[in-house]
Amino acid sequence: MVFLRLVVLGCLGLAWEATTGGLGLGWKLFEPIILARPSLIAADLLEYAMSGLLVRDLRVTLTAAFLGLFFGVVGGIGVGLFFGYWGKVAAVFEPIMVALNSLPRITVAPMLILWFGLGMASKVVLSLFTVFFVIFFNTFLGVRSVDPDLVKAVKVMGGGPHQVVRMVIVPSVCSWIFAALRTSVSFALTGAVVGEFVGSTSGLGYRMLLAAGLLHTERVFAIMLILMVVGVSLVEISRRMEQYLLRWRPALTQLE
Amino acid sequence: MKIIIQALGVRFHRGVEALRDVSFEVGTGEFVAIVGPSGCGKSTILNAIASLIAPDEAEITGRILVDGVDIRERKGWNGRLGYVFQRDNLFPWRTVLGNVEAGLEIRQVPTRERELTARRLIELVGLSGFEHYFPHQISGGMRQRTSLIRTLAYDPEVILMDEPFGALDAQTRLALQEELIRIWSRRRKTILFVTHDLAEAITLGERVILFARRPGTVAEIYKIPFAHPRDPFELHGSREFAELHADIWRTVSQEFRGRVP
Repeated sequence: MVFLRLVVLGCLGLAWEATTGGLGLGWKLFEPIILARPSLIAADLLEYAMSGLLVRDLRVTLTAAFLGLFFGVVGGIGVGLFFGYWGKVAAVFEPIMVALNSLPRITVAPMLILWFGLGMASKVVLSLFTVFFVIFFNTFLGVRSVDPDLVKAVKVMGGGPHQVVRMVIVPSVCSWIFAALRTSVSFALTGAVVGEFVGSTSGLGYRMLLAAGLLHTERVFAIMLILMVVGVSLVEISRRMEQYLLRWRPALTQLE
Repeated sequence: MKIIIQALGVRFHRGVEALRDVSFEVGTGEFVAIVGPSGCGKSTILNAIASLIAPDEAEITGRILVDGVDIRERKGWNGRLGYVFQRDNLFPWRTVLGNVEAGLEIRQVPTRERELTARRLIELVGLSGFEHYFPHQISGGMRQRTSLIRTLAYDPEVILMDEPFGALDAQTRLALQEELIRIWSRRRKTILFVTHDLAEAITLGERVILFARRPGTVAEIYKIPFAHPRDPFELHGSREFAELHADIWRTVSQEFRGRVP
């Protein structure tokens, strides 16, 4: 399977290279400005890396994404728990939360730039904003869907409210939060990059927009490639984490 | 511990009168089975005894005396009660070992001692080797065994059982009945076992209380003459068992017939 995949990938790469004027064939189905040639993308990527800009941009974007992820997760859990426990508060705020959640995330970006400036803060906030709702809704549902029979079981065993929280509510809510972690990680990255698109002075998104403006298509593709690799790695890491933390859960195929 | 139920009535505020004028006794170390059709308030009576019915949920009349003291004055059971549910009700995020240790953890028993007790019980019901399995990885019978020993682990004096073997296949059910009898004969806990299966009630109970439907009340109490420890596999093949079953069935079928709620 892996072999087949590599073959397909290789063929696609070669076709791409050939149709953009590479391999010494002289076919130019696509203009290099429209579709960059893979070998030139690779060369540009190397140049980008050697210049030291790549590391700087990557650091800026990842810092924004991680800070956004962190504060989004913390805030989402906090507010989710609060709403989960105080049903009245939740009932009052529910329409507002739903409305905010259905707002396309990108549309708040211009305002965040106005509020927080072109620096990292606006990216962190946008990233936080996208992550927050995923975690918030999961925490909220987690608190709400605590199995009352398990609470009953702990009470019968002689457990007080403290034990109910420790033995039932915390693990139950955690399982919902862990399950939302993978989505949150990719949301955080998207939030940071989109924030940079809208207005910034550094970062991968900034560099990409700059390159596109200069019709430097190779650079645009190079950055896309980097974002893809970063995204896949982060999601894979969180998937492994989730798999370990939720190992007590039946796999989907095992569900009765 | 001896339990005396006096003129117990439970009326849920939603309008359903679950129990009316229920009176019976369960002696210390006695094994009593309650049998009745679905919707006769069998589970409600267990929940009432376990004080799991909140005052804002239902109006409770009559008295439940445990060793002569009303359960409401005792302010709960302080963990001297065990309750085995129909759904195994295990913590899905804990292993078999972790589940069995739960009650001891609540009692703040030291880790080593906790594990020792749990492992001994795990061995007792033949679950050795499965200590580190999660509930979803083992069979329904094994889960129900785990649930049973989770209750036994903290050594409650009274055990309430709400159709604990109801979801199991016939063979596993007999095996678990045998195990329960073995454990009970050795430890002599007071057991109140609810079931809708008359054969199961006769197999296990020293006495069988027949419930009538809605509002649930005691219709009849039978003394089961077979000596304990009984062997369910042997008992089910015997003529005495068949005769007693047929005898009681004549009354039971009156209760069971009719509209399913």
